[in-house]
Amino acid sequence: MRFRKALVLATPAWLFAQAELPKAPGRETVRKVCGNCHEIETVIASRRTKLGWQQITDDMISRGAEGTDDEMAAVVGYLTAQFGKINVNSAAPTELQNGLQLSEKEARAIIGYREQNGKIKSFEELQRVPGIDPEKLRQKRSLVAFSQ
Amino acid sequence: MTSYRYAFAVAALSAAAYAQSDWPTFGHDLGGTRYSTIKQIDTKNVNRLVRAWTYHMSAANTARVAPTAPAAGSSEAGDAAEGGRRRGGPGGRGGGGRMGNSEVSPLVIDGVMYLTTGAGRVVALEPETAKELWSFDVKDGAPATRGLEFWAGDKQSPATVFFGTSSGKLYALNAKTGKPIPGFGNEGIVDMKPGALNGLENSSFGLSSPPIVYKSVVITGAHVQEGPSIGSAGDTRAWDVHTGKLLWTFHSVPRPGEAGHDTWRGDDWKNRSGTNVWGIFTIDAERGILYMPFGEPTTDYWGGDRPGANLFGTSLVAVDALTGKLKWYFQVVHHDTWDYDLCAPPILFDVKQKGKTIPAVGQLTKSGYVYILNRVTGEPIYGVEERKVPVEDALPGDQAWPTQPIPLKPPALARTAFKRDEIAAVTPELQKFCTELFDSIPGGLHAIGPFTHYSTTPSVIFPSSIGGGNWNPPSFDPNLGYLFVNTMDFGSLNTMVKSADGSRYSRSGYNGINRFWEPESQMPCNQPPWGRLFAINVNTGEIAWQSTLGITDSLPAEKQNTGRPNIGGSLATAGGLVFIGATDDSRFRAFDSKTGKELWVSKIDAGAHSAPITFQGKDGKQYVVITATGGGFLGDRSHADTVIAYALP
Repeated sequence: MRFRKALVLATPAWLFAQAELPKAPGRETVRKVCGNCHEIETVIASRRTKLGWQQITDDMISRGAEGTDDEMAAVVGYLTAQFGKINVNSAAPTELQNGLQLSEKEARAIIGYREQNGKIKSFEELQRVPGIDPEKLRQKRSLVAFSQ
Repeated sequence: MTSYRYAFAVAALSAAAYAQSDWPTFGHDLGGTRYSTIKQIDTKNVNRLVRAWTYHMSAANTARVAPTAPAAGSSEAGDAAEGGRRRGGPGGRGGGGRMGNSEVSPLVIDGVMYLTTGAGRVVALEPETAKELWSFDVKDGAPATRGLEFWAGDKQSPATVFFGTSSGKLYALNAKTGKPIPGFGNEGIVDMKPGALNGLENSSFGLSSPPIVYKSVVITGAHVQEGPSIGSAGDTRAWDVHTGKLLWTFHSVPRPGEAGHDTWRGDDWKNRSGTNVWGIFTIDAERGILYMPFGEPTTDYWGGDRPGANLFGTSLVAVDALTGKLKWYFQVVHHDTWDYDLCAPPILFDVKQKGKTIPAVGQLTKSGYVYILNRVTGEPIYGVEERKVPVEDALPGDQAWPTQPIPLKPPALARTAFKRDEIAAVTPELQKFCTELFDSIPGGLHAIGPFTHYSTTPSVIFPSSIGGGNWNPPSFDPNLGYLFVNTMDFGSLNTMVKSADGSRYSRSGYNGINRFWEPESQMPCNQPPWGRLFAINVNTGEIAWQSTLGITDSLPAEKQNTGRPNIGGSLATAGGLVFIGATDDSRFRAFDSKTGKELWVSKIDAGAHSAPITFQGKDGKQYVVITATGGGFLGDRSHADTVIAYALP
């Protein structure tokens, strides 16, 4: 039950989904391009990495989403910034720090680990990286990706 | 050619052995049997199949013939997943720009292969080599992702390729030259938007699936919105093959005086969107009946502004193909609020019982059931019961329908309920994640069958909103009387949220997840199987066999045989084989149609969320062809731009 509390506190997607899309550059473009065929809440039901958002946007274009290349880039940019995930196997130190709220030392520990051991395959492995606080990371689990 | 095709469709349906080397329409024949009598590749030699060619959709005007691939049943493309990753840069679509996914089934007629691509082009290929014969750039929107239709032509018009676009255009190209046919619509293009937009200029309207041609009419469905409620009509329309003139319109939301209008309250029907055939049509060529699998009305998870059964939402509807006049309908989900759109092709076959032959149609559904109906009358052949379903859990303001039609046979082909002790124990990590996730869900368990309502507290629902089954084209072996269908055992994890203005609810996820799975490993939280292929004996309604479909690569070998989430369809051949991709494990497989044993598997460039075809080339060889581009609603991370052909060496 401790987990339950932690998870909800960490990223209450089901709570913030009731609010408006966060105000940030690209919001109106997302409304215009994505909101024409389905509701915005559907779009943000899942978090994705930048590549994941790119892929789903390409898919939506083949299904009828209309917009210029600049608009599509704005959609991917907004969704990645607001509803993104951090690929711990490719993220730069600042991305790890900002995205997962890690210290510079922790971010460097992850990068050092993956350089030495290859790709991190699971959340459990990530939690075992020396110098990482597993409990702190646990609260960010929904923001962590291992590929794409 | 028209009479030939007609003859063939009848022949295939009556299970007569008819030599046939082409693949002339989406479902092979108008009845959508996806059955070929070619039997060069059979159960004995299928493990010797090798890749004959690989066509790259985004590479203009170049044929790429792969060297004859190595070992039997091999993973010759094992390294191609990374190398095949290809993403269009800026510069728009067409001519090698942005490469979207493709779900296309190519056609092969008289020595030419035709297909729409995910790269904005429609192409004709030499089917033995994939060399481009012509290529047509679609400048305005994307050509329909599931493909196109061929018409043999007549004295008045040349052989024609018809396809729709995401921007609502219907194109007619000369099949020989790839040039638009001047006499059809406006220089080869009919703008289908007028008459569909309900006066709402910014409303979305397009085609994602192929039209279907019967005699001198070309029939189109609609790809329209899931929300908001008001938008483009999902009507089915028929056009003159020569001129593109509109011949008839079937109102998918019945208007005053039309059958089914009384299933709507007041003016709720007006400008209602959804209720569309975004999937695949079939036709009984002998009887001239068109079968239309309709999706649900808008919005997809909230019906508070549309109390009533809402015909022809989530209904199979049969009309006269030449006039659009209603013959019968069968509503599969009353007042649908689950996005359980009908979309799979209503496949036609004969049921044989005690010396009697019953003309039948089979409809796979997202809710996991297959409905087998008399295709002339619409009567269920194995019985359907209106069963009580939960109403107390409906969202405030939404009047849930108290019963739903459940077929007595065959049984549900996908998991329709879930208990906590069925959490996947595949790995300790998965079990831990899923248990904690499940126990953290504020609404707790809310999975009391396929008609459990989506709720304002996060809930787990089986099957998921993408199935069960999806648009998966089934196949049918007339010799065995077996219908082959693939499904997934997969759940949704959703929360309904109130809109800012308080007027409606819409669906969102829970904690950044909207499937009941571990999103990084993409392993579902229910015990396997996660994907299955079934053979249904249509003469008894029973399951003849079932097999897991797909493997989880990240698991140790002895645990890999889990089945995988899958969208796409199958092909059955007289060689005793069922070919299928569909899974998110980037593989193409062949099963023994009699026993369900997996006989052959090939690793391919990306997931094949499409349905395979077969044909016999001018060189006498049988080819099996599958489109593999990854992506799609399964979150398949693979990506490629390939169409792949296999043959015996």
